[in-house]
Amino acid sequence: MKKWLLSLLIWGGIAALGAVGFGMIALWQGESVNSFWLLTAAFCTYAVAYRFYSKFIARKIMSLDDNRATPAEVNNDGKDFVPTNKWVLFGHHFAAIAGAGPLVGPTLAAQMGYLPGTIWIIVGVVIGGAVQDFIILFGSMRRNGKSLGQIAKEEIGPVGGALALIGIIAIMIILIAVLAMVVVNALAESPWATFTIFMTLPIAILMGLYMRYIRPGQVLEGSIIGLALLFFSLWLGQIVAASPTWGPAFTFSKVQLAWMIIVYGFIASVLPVWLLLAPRDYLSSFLKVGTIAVLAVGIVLTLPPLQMPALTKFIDGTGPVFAGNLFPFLFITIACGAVSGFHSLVSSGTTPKMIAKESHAPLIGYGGMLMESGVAVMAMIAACVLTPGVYFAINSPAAAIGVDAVQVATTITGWGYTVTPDQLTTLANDIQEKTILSRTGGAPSLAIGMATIFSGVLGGKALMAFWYHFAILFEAVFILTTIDAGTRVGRFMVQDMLGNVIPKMKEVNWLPGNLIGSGIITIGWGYFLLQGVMDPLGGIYTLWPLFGIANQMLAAIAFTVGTTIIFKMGKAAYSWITLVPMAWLTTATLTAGWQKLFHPDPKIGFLSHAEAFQKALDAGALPKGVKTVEAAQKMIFNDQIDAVVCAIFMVITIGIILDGARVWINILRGKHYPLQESPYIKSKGNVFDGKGHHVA
Amino acid sequence: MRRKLRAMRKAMRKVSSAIKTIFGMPDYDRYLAHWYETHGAPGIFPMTEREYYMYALTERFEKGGVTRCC
Repeated sequence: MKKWLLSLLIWGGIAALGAVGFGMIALWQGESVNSFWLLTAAFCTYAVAYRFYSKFIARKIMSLDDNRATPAEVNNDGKDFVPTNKWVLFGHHFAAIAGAGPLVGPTLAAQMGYLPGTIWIIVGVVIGGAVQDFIILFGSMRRNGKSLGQIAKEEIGPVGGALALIGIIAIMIILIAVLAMVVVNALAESPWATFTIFMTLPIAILMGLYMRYIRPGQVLEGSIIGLALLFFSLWLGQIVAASPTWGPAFTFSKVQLAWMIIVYGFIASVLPVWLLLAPRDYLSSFLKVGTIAVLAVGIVLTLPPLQMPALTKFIDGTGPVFAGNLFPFLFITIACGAVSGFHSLVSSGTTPKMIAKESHAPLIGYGGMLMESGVAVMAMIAACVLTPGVYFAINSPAAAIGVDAVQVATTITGWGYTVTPDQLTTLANDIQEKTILSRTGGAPSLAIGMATIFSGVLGGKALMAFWYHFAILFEAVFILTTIDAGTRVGRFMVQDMLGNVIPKMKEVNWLPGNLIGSGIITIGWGYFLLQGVMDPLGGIYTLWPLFGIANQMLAAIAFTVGTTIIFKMGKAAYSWITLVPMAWLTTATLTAGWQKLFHPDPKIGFLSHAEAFQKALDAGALPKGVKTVEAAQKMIFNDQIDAVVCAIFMVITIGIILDGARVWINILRGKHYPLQESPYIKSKGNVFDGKGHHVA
Repeated sequence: MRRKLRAMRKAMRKVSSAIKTIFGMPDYDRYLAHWYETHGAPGIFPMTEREYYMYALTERFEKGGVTRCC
């Protein structure tokens, strides 16, 4: 058979199969659709998009050229700039972009049914997320591995660059707060999980000492010891939780946990990295990849049917997990997995310094993001294998469903999703937790979904509690590392900024400077965390949309940078490749921001929420779920802060797009802006012989 | 036998090097190989394993770069 005919048949077949998958998940009328069809729709779409769209972008815009030396070849220093095997680098990039985000977002979005979220994850990644990662990776690769902020400054201008920098600090603060909120909700009143997480501190420190003093640099040995100890403490946690003396000692309320995390975050971010951050980063990376792999294996082996309907009645915006209509709120709730602005920081971080040949960029940039999207689809499946009644019991705040099993079951059954009090208490017993009610934040819900899937593969009900706490352990360890690393990154930015006024602040090893920098960042996210913990709606309800807006704002910045690069390369005819996703994201983000500010429904709008509270106070009454007048006044103030932060995000988004558009219009009018690419250096061919040009 | 053993050790080193790269861990072998290829000269010495380990951690975590996502 002719080669082109075979290719046509194969790709036609994959496309057709994907279409069947979409048809099944969209039109299925029976009891429950099988997760096989979700996976089919997703992976066939990814394959076609990778084969055709990424190649199209590579050819029409980037003109990738293997004769051009990459930064890794030019600067090969054996440390940061190292030409790396394509598949190893793919793994490196994927390990850097995948985290808790793609697992939490889809879990929350499942309140509208599996269909809207799944479609957004699949379509969003193909047209938006993967394009963003790819084009920023390309831009950084052609600019000696520069970061997004530097590229924005050089290609757009100082205003755009400054806005990008402020945006990055702001998103760091909100990101840390919301992730810390997830941990607090997962650990509250759970001695097993809390004990295991506490144990990660001495384990990591032990590893740190081992890898520095006992066997210097033996990171794999250290990690194996650490993982073994971690599994031991996971097992021990069950015994500790059951003990009448130790159980209560490791049981903390949300407020206690929030303060602990704040103190921990501050201290951890000024400790030397070898002692705590680095060893725990290794642990969390291994756990992360392990969890994702086990989830994938579990789903593929069991192919569980989805209990959640395609659409729930909450597409009208009255849902208990997050407020607001499908448009725009679905599109900011799921960021990671569809489009995540945060990736633009990673794509302009270590990866572009390690890429060996330009032609590897589509696999790593576009393909890496497709893989993360696949993780998001699996998270969606894990959330939807729970019956809707159970899902809502876990993910709705107490203010919406009440506090005891009977009341919760009545409320949720009243919504049309039948659940009995018995089911709720049995499930809590199965996973050996005091309660599964109102454990918002996505982590517990995902962990129960994963435990349900895993226990179908291995161990049955006997191991369900173990699987649950394993999943919680992974999320918490991962997030604690992000808190530590994120506070550190924020500290460097603050020190750098303050250094413009007080030059001494720029010294990264100056302890007072470190303390001030870390203090400012910790107070920033600590404020939002405490606000979330005291919120009767459970924090996630308020903070996750703010995080989504911040993340998509960063994506809008990345697309503006990408579009500017395309214009400057003289490829304006293909600028729709970045302009279309940018327009969609900007519309969704600004609409969501606007509604968060000015929506008349107090559940959605920050200002109307403050107003409703004020009205209640003026009338001499207390708003629902609030115990004291001071608390109510504090919440009004919090609403105003949230409104200001939201407005800042919107101003940054608009500002940077206008600054970019100025450049685009000038180019269309015939003005010439020089592209700030590094000069062309011819590749010597084989880049893996270790020698390199070595000009650095 | 010895040949087989050497081949196996070589393969193991490749695997461990790949794991280190994927997770952003310091890779002393890689550094040494590079150092001898490009800097090696009589009278100067590369960093010791511990020095390199501390250097690599500082590079990765204390330069303010974003190395991970949400």
